Amino acid sequence: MTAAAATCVDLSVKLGSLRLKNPVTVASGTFGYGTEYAHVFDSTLLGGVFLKALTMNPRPGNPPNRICETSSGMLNSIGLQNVGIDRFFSEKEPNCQRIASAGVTIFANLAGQTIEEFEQLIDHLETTTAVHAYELNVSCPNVNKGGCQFGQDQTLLRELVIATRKLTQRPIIVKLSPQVTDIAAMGVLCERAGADALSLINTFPAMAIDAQSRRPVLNTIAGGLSGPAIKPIALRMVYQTAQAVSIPIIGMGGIMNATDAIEFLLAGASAISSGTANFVNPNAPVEILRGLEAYCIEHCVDRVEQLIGGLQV
Amino acid sequence: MPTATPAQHTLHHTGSIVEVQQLAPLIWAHRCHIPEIAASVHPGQFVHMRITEGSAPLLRRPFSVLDANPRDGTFRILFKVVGVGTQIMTGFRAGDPVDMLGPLGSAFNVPRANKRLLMIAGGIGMVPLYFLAKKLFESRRGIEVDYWFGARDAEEIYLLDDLRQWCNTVVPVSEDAGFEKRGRVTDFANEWGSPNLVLTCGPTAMLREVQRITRDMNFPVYGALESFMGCGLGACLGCVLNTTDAGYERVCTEGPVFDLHRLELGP
Ligand SMILES: Cc1cc2nc3c(=O)[nH]c(=O)nc-3n(C[C@H](O)[C@H](O)[C@H](O)COP(=O)(O)OP(=O)(O)OC[C@H]3O[C@@H](n4cnc5c(N)ncnc54)[C@H](O)[C@@H]3O)c2cc1C
Ligand SMILES: Cc1cc2nc3c(=O)[nH]c(=O)nc-3n(C[C@H](O)[C@H](O)[C@H](O)COP(=O)(O)O)c2cc1C
Ligand code: FES
Repeated sequence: MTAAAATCVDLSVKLGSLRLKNPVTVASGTFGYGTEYAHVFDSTLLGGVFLKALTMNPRPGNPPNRICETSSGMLNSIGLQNVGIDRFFSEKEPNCQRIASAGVTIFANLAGQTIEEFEQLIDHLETTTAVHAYELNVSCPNVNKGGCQFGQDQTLLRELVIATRKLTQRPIIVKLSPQVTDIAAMGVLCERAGADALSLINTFPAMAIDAQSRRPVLNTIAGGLSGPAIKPIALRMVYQTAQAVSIPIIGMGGIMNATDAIEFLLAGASAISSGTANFVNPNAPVEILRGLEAYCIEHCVDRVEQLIGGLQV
Repeated sequence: MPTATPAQHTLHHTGSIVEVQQLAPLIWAHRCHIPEIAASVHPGQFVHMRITEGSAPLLRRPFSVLDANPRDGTFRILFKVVGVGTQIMTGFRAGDPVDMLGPLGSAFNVPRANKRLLMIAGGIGMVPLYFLAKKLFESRRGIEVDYWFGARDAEEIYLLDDLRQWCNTVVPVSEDAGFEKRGRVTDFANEWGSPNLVLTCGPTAMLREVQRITRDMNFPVYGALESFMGCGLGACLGCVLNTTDAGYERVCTEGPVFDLHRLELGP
């Protein structure tokens, strides 16, 4: 393959009615609202940004300790701390607008405690062009009254998807909880209820203990496990769900580099997110993007979409 | 239509270690060559350092800067071996590459009017205060600094000769019999005099005591705080402490230097 052809890899991917300029996105809660990494890399290079969870009212979040390291991973119990929808508009939305105008797809991550709250959030966000799609956070394991029950209760989940689907032309993406017996079945349920795409996976409920003090390390005792430790499980879940649904999947869970990202694409994800990796190497998303392009060149793939679901079994 | 502005300058640097010193059995200092950090870091600020290319440990580790030399582009960090990451760091050698984010966080600010400062350091909490004492001395502002340096063992008290050059008085305090003053720094609060400003860094138990004492004595006090960190950049909200007036604030962004009287340090 010639050098001229090398620059011609089509990295764009289709995600329902959206086209992302490339499949590399950053996971909700690991990238703030897009400004925090401004001094580290140019976020306009990304295919998409998933914003930190939003709720109608500001939420203070959980008391510290909120994070700790575990074998090849980390626990977090941030507790959905966020500024609430009003301050999102006054403080964060202008920057989202700036990134969006550079061709980055912006996903608002919604963390309602009731169906009504999800509906209200969408109502508000419909007024801005800085947001292109909604990701329903039905799987955050951190807040007792939060998403947990939506992600685990089939009736509630179906009701939520149907209710939110009616309110907007924009894609509705459901972020699935890994804390279910059959994640593919949950994906099918969401697809039938009208979801346009699925994100998987969110973190696993887990805990750490300090043997010296005989106390839990996190204030909330349990938190969500992310990072390389969960990658093989995430990969299996993406694969199984991709086999069962025909809507696109955004794959995540322990993606640290381009090879990890390619594995998720081969398993059936149409796009990927890096989360914990952004803390380890803030340049990870850009390195993933470059590595993906290099892989395509090396393997004579001229459209990255050709990799999606390309696993040979 | 607004256009995308690329990152103005970067906080993410690679450089190398140029010197490794062991100051005590568990205390090490690494001199690093990263001119961008050496040129712009202020006392109180920290670097967030990648320990390995692999995933053990996975997350970066934060370290305060001990001193910086903008002329040769180097600065030092000083650390105590407490776990897996700091243990690995004892194996670093001159010439090894380093990957750091920095300088991060807020710095100590000493207003012009403050001429008598009291510094209360506990253990490796000496690091940012060492840098501050040095900077104030070099600024020739005629500020008098009393530097109290407490640690459990006399062995964990070091670099006193440097501090003595820069400070009015340097008072080491250990719980063993290593120095004239035996006990904890906060046991000697009646000897602290009447400073315009108190600056402190150390374990939470000590900071809680300093908070109580300075509140009773009505001294303004700033402290450099610690917490577990994820991103170091303000995005993950993992590193927060609770304040009395503004809810949770991030140690990596609003801190690590805080008005100590604003913090809820727990019982
Ligand atoms: C802003 C800031 C500046 C710091 N400056 C210095 C410095 O100048 N010199 C220095 O030696 N250390 C400093 N620290 C602390 C240092 O980051 C930790 O000691 C280090 O991360 C421990 O890594 P480890 O892998 O060796 O320990 P781990 O194996 O991760 O942990 C070992 C033990 O230390 C505890 N621990 C680890 N990290 C922290 C933390 N951040 N806060 C409280 N307890 C912790 C753990 O609970 C555990 O008990 C600073 C921390 C912060 C937040
Ligand atoms: C500190 C932290 C905060 C997170 N906050 C959110 C959130 O607000 N909403 C959400 O849907 N997922 C949240 N997540 C989950 C991530 O988006 C992602 O699904 C998960 O971390 C797995 O990917 P990773 O292994 O690459 O980190 C958070 C994860 C971390 C580590
Ligand atoms: S360490 Fe991520 S916000 Fe402070």
